[in-house]
Amino acid sequence: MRVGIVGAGAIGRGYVPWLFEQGRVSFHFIERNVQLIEALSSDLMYTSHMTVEGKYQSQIVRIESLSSDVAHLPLDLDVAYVAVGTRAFPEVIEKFPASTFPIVCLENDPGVVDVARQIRPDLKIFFAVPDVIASPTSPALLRDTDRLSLVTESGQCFIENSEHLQGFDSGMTQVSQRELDEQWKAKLYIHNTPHCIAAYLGHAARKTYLHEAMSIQPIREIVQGAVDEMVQTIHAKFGIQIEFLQNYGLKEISRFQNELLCDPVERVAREPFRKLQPRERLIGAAQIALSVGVFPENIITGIVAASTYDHPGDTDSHIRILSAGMPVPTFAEIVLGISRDSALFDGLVDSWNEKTLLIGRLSA
Amino acid sequence: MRRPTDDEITTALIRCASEAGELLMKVFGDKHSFHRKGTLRDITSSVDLAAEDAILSVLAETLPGVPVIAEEKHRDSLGGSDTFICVDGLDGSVNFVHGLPEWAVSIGWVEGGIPTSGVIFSPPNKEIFYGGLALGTFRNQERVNVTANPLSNSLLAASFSGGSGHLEQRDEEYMIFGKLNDNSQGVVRSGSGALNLARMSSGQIDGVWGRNARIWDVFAGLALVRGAGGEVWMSEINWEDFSVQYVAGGAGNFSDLSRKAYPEREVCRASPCTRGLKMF
Repeated sequence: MRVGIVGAGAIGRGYVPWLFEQGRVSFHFIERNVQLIEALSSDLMYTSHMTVEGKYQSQIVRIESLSSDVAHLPLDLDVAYVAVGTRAFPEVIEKFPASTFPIVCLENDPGVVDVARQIRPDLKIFFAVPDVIASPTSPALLRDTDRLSLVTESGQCFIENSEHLQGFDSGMTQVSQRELDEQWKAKLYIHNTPHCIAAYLGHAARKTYLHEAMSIQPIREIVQGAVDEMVQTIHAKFGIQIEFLQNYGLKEISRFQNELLCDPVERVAREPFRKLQPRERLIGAAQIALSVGVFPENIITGIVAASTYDHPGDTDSHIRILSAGMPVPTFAEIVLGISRDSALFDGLVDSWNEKTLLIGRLSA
Repeated sequence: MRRPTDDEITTALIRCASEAGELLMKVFGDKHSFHRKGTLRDITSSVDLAAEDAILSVLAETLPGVPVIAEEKHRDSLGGSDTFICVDGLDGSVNFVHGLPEWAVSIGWVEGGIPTSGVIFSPPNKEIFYGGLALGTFRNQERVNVTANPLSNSLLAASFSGGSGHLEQRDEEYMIFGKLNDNSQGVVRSGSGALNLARMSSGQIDGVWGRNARIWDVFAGLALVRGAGGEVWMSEINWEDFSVQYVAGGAGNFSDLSRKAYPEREVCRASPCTRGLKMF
């Protein structure tokens, strides 16, 4: 098989090769990061490690071709995967060469596929949900043998059923639109929301990796609380079976604690303003919870932790200046865009001091 | 005394502006009595004073020992220091008493005699502009930059001095206003010199000038424009009435704008002080 991978990040480079039988696929990469291209060009191979039942499985991935321009993607591929981030996705699709093979979007937003289909109705674009965490780095021990190595979890990749995919061995699990939507919603709320909360609290506790953060009991309890809030919320809001959601939640807590993954706190916590957008994983999730009568106590802790995130190298590092300088009601209204007459506003303002004390104690 | 870090300065200025802004919003829309200080539009009211007091109170706690020059009543002696804080508790008082939302709290940090950091808070518009040379300039969550539009594609803003001491220059000011209005996409006169500059720093307005502007009205904004990559010409401060002449533009219009705004001066004389700022 000939497989294209656009975006040589954690999912594209780390996870996608595991969808196929080793040694029977040629991989063609497109990557915009010049330094990464240079690094990959020297050996044209790297190691991807997968965590399976507490151990690593490893494979050497050989790179057949490598380019920075998606227009250079070979036209005789069997399938292409795109994992470049939601912001870059439309631009990549716009420049995509005219082709007939399936293009699988591994972004965190099905909405971008709708946009992409409008931009390029000639392409066969599919939305898929990889149910894994992949880390762009690996532990020092693994980096010593291959500096380009990276780690991914073992997990299924769900994709919508389509006649265009019939008889196609993509390594993915084809499901109905409804099942895909359930997987997506579970990932969006039961994974994304608690995941970033664990990272912000982990940063407050000065931890490097997520599993280190999760080894601290108060953090584990808050993250578990956020998972429970989201399980109740998604069940009430969308009518998804509670057993499925509870099992998803258990799986998430387990994967956040996966010490083989070495998921960097800094990566998961990056760009707090984006995560604090009104419809995003923190404020958006809290608003949905309140709309179905679930009080998002632990998600509010996450909102406070994100608002006080103080990593100097982050694109959004100025958030700490605003949250430190503004009275909480002003910050909530002007910066976070939370209406003063909303329940979330009251919940946030009333508990802000208590939450900041709690978060402050994590660094002690 | 240790110099506060740029983060500490900006955090303190944001706290001051927020406190004053909250106070002002509580009474915005009410009827206010005012009295005139000079011209018909140079007015002050009890809320101007209350906002200034709120800011001074926070400054005394957060940046103690730094001299403050405020619009309404507070004028510390600089004692030879060229580091001080400029405060305008309510810039756009006429708009405020008329219920128009174009007003702001404006606080600037001045170092070496020139503005380097600032905060401009517009509560009715839910906008806070902050930062300066060291941090760059931000509007709410976003980092912002000035535009590079040529003069012909520029939306400009002008401010006229509110004081009565320069009335003999009015004819010339109006002539320049008209000339620039005809040579650009137009000239706004918003009634708030601070907001003019804030909006320029975020690229909504492309260039700003002002004659005999008071330092508390414009120093915060000039710092923000510089932090957003803009270019600024500024005169020495006239300490008798705390006024300056200034012009601010982007790479595409600065040269044309400064020549037209100050035709009597050799504004192209190269005497750069620091990044983005030149003195007349």
